[in-house]
Amino acid sequence: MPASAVTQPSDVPRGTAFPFDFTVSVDTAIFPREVVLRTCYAFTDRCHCWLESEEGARILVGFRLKASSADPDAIRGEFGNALIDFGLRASIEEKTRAVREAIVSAALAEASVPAPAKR
Amino acid sequence: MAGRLSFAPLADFQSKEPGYQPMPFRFARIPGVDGKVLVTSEVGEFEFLDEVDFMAFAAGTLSPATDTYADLQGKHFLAEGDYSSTLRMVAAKYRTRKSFLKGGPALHVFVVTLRCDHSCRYCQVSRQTADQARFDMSAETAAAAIDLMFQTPSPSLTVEFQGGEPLLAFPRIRQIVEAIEERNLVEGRAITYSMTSTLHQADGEVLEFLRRHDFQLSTSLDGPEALHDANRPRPGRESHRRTLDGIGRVREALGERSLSALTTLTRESLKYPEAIVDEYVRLGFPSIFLRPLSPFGFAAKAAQRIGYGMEEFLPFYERALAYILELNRMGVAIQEAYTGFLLSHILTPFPTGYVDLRSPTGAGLGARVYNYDGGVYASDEGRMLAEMGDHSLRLGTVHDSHADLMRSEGMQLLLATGVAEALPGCSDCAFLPYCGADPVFNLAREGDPVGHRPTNAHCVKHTGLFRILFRYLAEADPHVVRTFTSWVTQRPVRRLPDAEAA
Repeated sequence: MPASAVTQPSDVPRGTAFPFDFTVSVDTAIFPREVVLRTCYAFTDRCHCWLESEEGARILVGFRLKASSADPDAIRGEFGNALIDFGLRASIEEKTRAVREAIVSAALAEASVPAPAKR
Repeated sequence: MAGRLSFAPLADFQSKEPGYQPMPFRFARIPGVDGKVLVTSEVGEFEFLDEVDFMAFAAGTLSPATDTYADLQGKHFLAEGDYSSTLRMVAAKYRTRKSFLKGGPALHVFVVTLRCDHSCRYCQVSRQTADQARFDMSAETAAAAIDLMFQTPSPSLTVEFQGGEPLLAFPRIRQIVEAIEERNLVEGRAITYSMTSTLHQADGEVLEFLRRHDFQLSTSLDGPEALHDANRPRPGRESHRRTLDGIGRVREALGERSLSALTTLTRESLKYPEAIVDEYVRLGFPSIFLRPLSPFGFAAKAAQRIGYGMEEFLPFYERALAYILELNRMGVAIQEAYTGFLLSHILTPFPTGYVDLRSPTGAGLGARVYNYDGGVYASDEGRMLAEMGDHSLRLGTVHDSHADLMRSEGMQLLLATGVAEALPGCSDCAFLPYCGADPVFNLAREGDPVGHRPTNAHCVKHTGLFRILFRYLAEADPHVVRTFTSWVTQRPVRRLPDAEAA
C-alpha cells in the first residue's frame, strides 16, 4: 500500500468516526511495534493517531491533524525522521540495558552499606 | 648507571579487545544548533557530536584515533575492554546524583495559618481572610508535627513556615522554633529556618526573633509598582510600597543575604520581562526567580483571566534570560534562580536543595507538609490539591508515625508514578538526567499522576528551558559560560579562574 493512501480501520465506516488526513504504512521488519508506538506517542500533541495491522508485517498509522493550519507533508516528513530516531533509541537501549542495570544496582547497593564508624 | 629507560609502546597499554562498549546514553537535536546532536549520559555528562561522529558512535564504529573518541571516553560515554572500573565510576556519579534520597524528607513545611491580608488573583493556597482564626495551627498540632519531623532520619532539616501569611500567626512560629531548639539539644541536627512572607507584619519584635534564629526569608515581588499592585491587591492598594518597606527593615535587621524575592508571572507580566528584571536590579537583589503561574488554588480558578500556555511563557523567559545575560555582560551581577538550578543539574553531579525537580519525585521523599489542621501532605502542592477537593496526597495526620506515612496510599501513588526513568516520554528524553517527575502537578492539571507527556505543561516548559540552555552551551560564548559558571558556583565572575570558566 502506498504510504500516503487514505484508509480507515476496518470496523469504522470511511469518513465518519475517524476521518484521516493521511496515513503512513510502516514496515515492522525495520521499525518494531514498540518503536512505532513510541513515535506515535510523541506525535499525539499534533495529531490523533489510529493504528491497525496490515498484511506483510506492516502497521498502518492513520493521522488526523489537530490544527487545521498544520502542514500534512511536514508532519509526514517529521514522522519519518522521528521513526529513525526512536529506532536508534531502541537499539541503544537494547545494547546498553545490561550496563544500565549494573550501574543502578551498583549505585544503590553501595549506598546501603553503612558508613565506617568515625574515629 | 643503567642506560636510558625504555617505555613500552602505547599499544601495550591499550585494550586488546576490538571495539568499545557504549555506556547508556540518550540524544536530542536542539533547534538552533544545526548539524550537531546532543548526547547525554545516564549521569548527566553531555557532548555535542556532528552527525557523522554521532552515527559512528551509535553504530559502535567510531575510530579510536579521533578527538571525539577521546572526549567521549573521558566522559565515560564508552569504555574499552574490561569496563568494570568505568562502571564503578559511573555508579559513583549516579549515587551522587541521587544522594538526595538517602536521608529522607529534609524539607519540613509548617503551614501555621491559611489567613492572609492579601487577595491575590493567582493565590495557589486558597487563603482565608485575616480574621478567621479557625484556620490557624493549634499548639497541640504543632507539637505533634515537631515530633513527627524528628522521626525522619535526615541529619539536616529545613523548617519552612508558610501560609496564608505566616506572620499573622507569629506566636505559633515562636512556639515551634523554641520547641525545636530545645529538642535539638538532644537530637543534634543541622537546622535551617526559612519563611515565605509578605513582610508587612515584620515589626521590631518579629525581626529580632528572626535574626536570632538566622532565618532565610523569601518574599513576593512581582515587578514595578503598577504590575505588583495589580497582581497583589489588598485594601489600600499599597502592597508594593509596604513590601519595599518590609524589604528595607529585613535587610537592616538581618542583612542583605537573608532575603530573596520571587515573582509570580501573570499574563500581564509576560509583556514586561525587562521592566521586571530592572525592578530587581534597582532594589539590589542579586537574583530573580521568574515563576510561572501554579495550577492550584485560586490560580486554577482564575486561569482564564490571568493564565497562559507554556508556548507564551517560553519566549518571555528567553527574552528575560537574554536581558539578564546582557546586564551581566555590562557588569551588573544578577542571576535567574531557576536557571541556576537547571544549570547545576547540567554542569555538576550534585543534587540541589530544590525538591520540585527530582526523580524519584521530591514530594514525600524530600519534603513533607504539616497543614494547619493536622493533615500531613507529601508537598505544598499536595495540600493545595486537597483544598481543591482532591485528598489523594494527604498521607495521614501529625499523630501518625513516620513509618505509617511512608507506607500510606499517597506515598504508594507517588512512588508508582514519580520515577521519571520509568515514565512514557521521559525514559527516552535526553534531558532526563537533569529533570524530574511531578505527579502532583500532573494530578492537578490532568487528573492523572502519570500525565500525557506530549501535551504536558511541565514537560513543555522544561523541554523548552533545556533547549534554550543547551543552545547557549553549544554556542559557548565565553562571557555566557563564565556567567553560567558563576551562577552554579555562587562565585562572582571576577573571582573565577579562567581555567574553571573554560
